[in-house]
Amino acid sequence: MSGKKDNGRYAVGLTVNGARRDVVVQAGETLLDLLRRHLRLTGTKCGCEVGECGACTVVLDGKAVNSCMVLAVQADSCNVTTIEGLADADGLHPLQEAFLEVGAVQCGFCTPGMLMSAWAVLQENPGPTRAEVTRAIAGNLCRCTGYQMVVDAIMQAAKKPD
Amino acid sequence: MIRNVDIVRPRDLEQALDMRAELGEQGLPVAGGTDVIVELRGQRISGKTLVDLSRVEALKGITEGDDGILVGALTTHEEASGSALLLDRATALAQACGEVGSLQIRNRGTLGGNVANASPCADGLTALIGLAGIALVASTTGEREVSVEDLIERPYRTGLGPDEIIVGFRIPRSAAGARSHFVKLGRRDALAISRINAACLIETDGATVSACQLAVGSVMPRTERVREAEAAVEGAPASGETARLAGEAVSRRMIEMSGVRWSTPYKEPAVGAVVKRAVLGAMGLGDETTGAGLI
Repeated sequence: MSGKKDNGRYAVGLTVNGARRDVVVQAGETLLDLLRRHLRLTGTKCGCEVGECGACTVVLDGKAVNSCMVLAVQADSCNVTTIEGLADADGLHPLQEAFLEVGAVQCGFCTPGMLMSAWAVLQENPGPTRAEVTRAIAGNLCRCTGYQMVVDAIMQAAKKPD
Repeated sequence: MIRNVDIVRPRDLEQALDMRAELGEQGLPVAGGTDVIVELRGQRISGKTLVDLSRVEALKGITEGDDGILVGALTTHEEASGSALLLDRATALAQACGEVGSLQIRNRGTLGGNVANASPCADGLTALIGLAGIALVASTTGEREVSVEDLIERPYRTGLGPDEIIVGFRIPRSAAGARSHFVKLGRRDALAISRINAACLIETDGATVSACQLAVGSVMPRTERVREAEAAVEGAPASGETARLAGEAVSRRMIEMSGVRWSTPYKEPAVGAVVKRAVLGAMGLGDETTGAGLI
């Protein structure tokens, strides 16, 4: 439960990549600030900060969101998955492996957000069509790949057991 | 990090209304934040105390009542676009919400926020006005109902008082067999703000249109019903020619309202085509596409 502290600071408790985290934030900080500055989870990228590019995409209570447009206090009691939460002790997530195999990563700046949008759509729909994948990543801009390899990689990962 | 802002987080509607009344002009309701946070970051709004409505359960949900469908103000665009009830009974609204921004924005942005922000290009707003939607507005002194069309005063300005909150929207029950359709034209498919959008609801009696509601957004100072076009359709045969005449009537109205501009040689036929498609869709004669980028 978020509580107000002194000097416009708020205590926020949330679950990030399966672990409970307690953070004290300011009213004007976003979920992106909470992740990058407070928790040092810098895999989530800061791009446009106006919801145009999708580089800051994380999954909040099962939904892909732009973390730059979620106030940190609004994430109180929520469950957040970031790019750091995809790989486990056994290695990379099948989506990450597919991105590498297919060549869906070039400069890499959009990749964490792209992977989170991909992960979110596969959580809801493990066997998406190419059109459904395209729609799911329409909010993630990539200036390098032309998107074809990204969609190829997501379709390839969708065929593999998680 | 956004500077010079504070936030309060009401737990329920009563607390939200109390906080709104206490803060007055100092307060700014925020739900999904997809408009408010951009404005705050650009420092076009400053020194406000945000009233975060996101925990207020009374503002959530889509239900059917005796007098129509009730859509909570906190309904996200994605929830609306996937709602079986809306897809069936208020198709234009589900279609419009599915065209907004990107999935990330649709997952956060709410219908209440779309209306309260009052952008002349808002997709949800056009659909709500086309469906003759009523805004349910509350304050500590009571509740009132106002048509969504009348709630919008001018671009980015509503008639909401500084103590008021939009609780939700009521979409009046339409006749059995009525059908609605929304069409948007943007510069590309995703993350494109509407250049032109239109929502149309049509009831037919045999092969004749018995009632027509038509709202057009982005091309006039505020989104509104175009009564001249509705009158041209009502009583006419449900046909492509009738739909074309509706498009022409809207183009004429646009030029009347906004004058001839540099964009008019493009917009005049484009508006006509978007409106024609919306009307055809509502007649059940058009293709099922919502049309972004098709013209």
